[in-house]
Amino acid sequence: MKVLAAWSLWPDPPATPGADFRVPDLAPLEAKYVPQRPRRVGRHARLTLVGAAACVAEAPAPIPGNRTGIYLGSGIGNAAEEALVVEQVVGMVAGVTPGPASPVHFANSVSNSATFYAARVTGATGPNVVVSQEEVSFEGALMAADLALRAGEIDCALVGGVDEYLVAREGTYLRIDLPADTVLGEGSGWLLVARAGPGAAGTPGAQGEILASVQIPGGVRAGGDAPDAWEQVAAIATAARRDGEAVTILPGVRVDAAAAAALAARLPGARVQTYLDRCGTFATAVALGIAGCFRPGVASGLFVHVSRCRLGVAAVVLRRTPLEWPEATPAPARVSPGNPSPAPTCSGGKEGSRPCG
Amino acid sequence: MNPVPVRIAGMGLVSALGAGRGHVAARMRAGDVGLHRLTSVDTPLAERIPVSQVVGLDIDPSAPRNDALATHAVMQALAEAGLAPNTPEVAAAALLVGSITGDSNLSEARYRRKVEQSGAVPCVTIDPPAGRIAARLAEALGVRGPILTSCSACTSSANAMLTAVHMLRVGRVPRVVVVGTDVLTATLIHGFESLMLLDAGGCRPFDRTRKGIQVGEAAGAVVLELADLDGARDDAPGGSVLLLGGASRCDPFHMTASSPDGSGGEAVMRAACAQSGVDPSDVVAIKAHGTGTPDNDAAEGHAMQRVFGEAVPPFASLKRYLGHTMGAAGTVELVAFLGCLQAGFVPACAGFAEEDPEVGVAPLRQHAPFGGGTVMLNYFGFGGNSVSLLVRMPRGEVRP
Repeated sequence: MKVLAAWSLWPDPPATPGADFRVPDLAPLEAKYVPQRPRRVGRHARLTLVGAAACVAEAPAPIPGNRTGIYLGSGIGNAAEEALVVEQVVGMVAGVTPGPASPVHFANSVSNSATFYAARVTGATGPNVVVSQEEVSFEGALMAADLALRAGEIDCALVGGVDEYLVAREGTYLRIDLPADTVLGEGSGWLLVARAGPGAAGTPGAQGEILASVQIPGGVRAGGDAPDAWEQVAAIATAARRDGEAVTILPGVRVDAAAAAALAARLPGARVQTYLDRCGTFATAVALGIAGCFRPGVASGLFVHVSRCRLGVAAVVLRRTPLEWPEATPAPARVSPGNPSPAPTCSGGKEGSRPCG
Repeated sequence: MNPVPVRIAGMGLVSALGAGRGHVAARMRAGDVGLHRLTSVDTPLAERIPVSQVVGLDIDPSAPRNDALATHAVMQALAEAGLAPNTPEVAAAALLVGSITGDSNLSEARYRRKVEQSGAVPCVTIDPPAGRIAARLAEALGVRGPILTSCSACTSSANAMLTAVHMLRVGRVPRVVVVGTDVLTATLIHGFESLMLLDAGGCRPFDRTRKGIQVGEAAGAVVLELADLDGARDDAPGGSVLLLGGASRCDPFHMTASSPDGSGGEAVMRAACAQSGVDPSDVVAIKAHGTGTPDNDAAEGHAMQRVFGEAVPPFASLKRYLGHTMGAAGTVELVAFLGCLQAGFVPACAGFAEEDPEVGVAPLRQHAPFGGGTVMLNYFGFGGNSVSLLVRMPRGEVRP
């Protein structure tokens, strides 16, 4: 898959060292990217909407609406909305809350409500798929999008990873099996990808390419990594690496310094770049790690993201290439079906204005 | 060139009408409907809202109910495909799950205990979404290929089947196990009650007097493989059941309703035909989504007329028989529908009696004979999710 645009929303550093990371007030970003945000949607949906809309705004050209799918990975989903409905319903049945369930909260608790609103705002009316596969949810969404692109079902895909911070931290630990002293975070990371082809990474507007995304069975429930897990990841990266190309290893969830070093030892000259220390740990932090590779100022090269989940080791290998932008032409107005408001204009995003096709 | 079809090598089903598609089809032929008094969830609504609950299975109430249903369905599908858990063939497979309820019944039970112990309103902790079902199933079955869970409302497992088709066509794995599973929860039942979408008399799809849905639980599983490209085997009488392909789209009209004019449904049906290399005129029967809500059924009726004109093929909703099984509906209704077709009939639309001019087209009132051909299966969900699949059934005696 070639990467046409990327956008990531990182949380602010905590005021107190060791505290959890939280995304600051979303309102300014919503004003910029989602001026007519749906009312009464929860934080998960707001994080999703801002990310998807901003990523489209960063695109070099308008997206082909019904040929663009939305694939969202989320480890805990819209847990806050679900919790609210459980509290209303079970509390009512048990006689401690008045009830009844709020229809708005119930509708918002549906697993794909966030991506529905993202489709309305961006006009991406192709497949609308939510993948929830614990800590490899984003990688799962990436895989589903890649398959749909390669099968010819779609031409473009918005692939996101979004998880919100739960004030009840216990819920996060329960959901992704983390030690209770883990510093948690939240965020919204997005890629706009298109089918790879000959010279895809050199396509005007392409910022790079996702070269491989693999799951290597093993994992914490199977007694540890496959014995050759790091060898397998290194072999994939080595096969993709160009002569003299810089390699950066991005250790994700459950990949400690020793594991990252073990992988780096198999990739001569590779450096390790941590990022969880800047966003906290959450199930789809990988989306920030990967989208972050396309931020301004990040040097071109090969990037290898690795994480561990109960299913094994997950690896994503990508290449960031120097930006090649098409000549600027007036962008047509983008109006989303079913939503009379103009979609966000292609005026450059959080990370600086760029011309767009 | 038409895309390479996918063979449905095995199927499994656990539903309110029992287990196994042959058994379920026989009960559907007899006109039975899976309406029961709700016992798996503690709620006062059980007194007045019948549901399509799975009965007769020995399920530990403290264990994940979805795991129990899914395992039953998967074991049937594997056996029919000639596969066994923890073998190299299954290890090489991918496992795709479609579900929305996950371990929600456990979350509700734990919260209920907290409430009863404290007498107050404690903090709610929600169990993981359905991803953990896939992880546990993969461990139990010895699946070492890719694992993915689709949580896309009522099209979850239908979307999972489409991803499986893509996975096979690009050669990622030799076979894929797809399972859709969902269980009844208090949140689900009260949530639909809050939207005034429950019909206390059971659903009446496409009927003029329809009032709403009939919630249900079930699991359906399929084992998918690329079809034999020699052709003869799969096209001949008695050949394989082929999943030709399909499409998935988002109708952005409204969070809880499809475009009333049917344009959203039309788009996905036409895209499915194009993706599968099928002309709409070749479709001989349709498994409709047919929830029994006024809006869905009217929009779906309009959509079918936009695609098929005056010649809408015989169609039926299965929801009166099986209930609306949420994210599981994709595989559950596919297996049940194909079971009926293999038994030689297109099922009548149970619950339907009186034609609705607002719908503009009427489903089958009685079972119709079926002798093979291409059928369409449609699924719609909250959030505008729409999936349409095309399946080719061989003529004459069939095998999985």
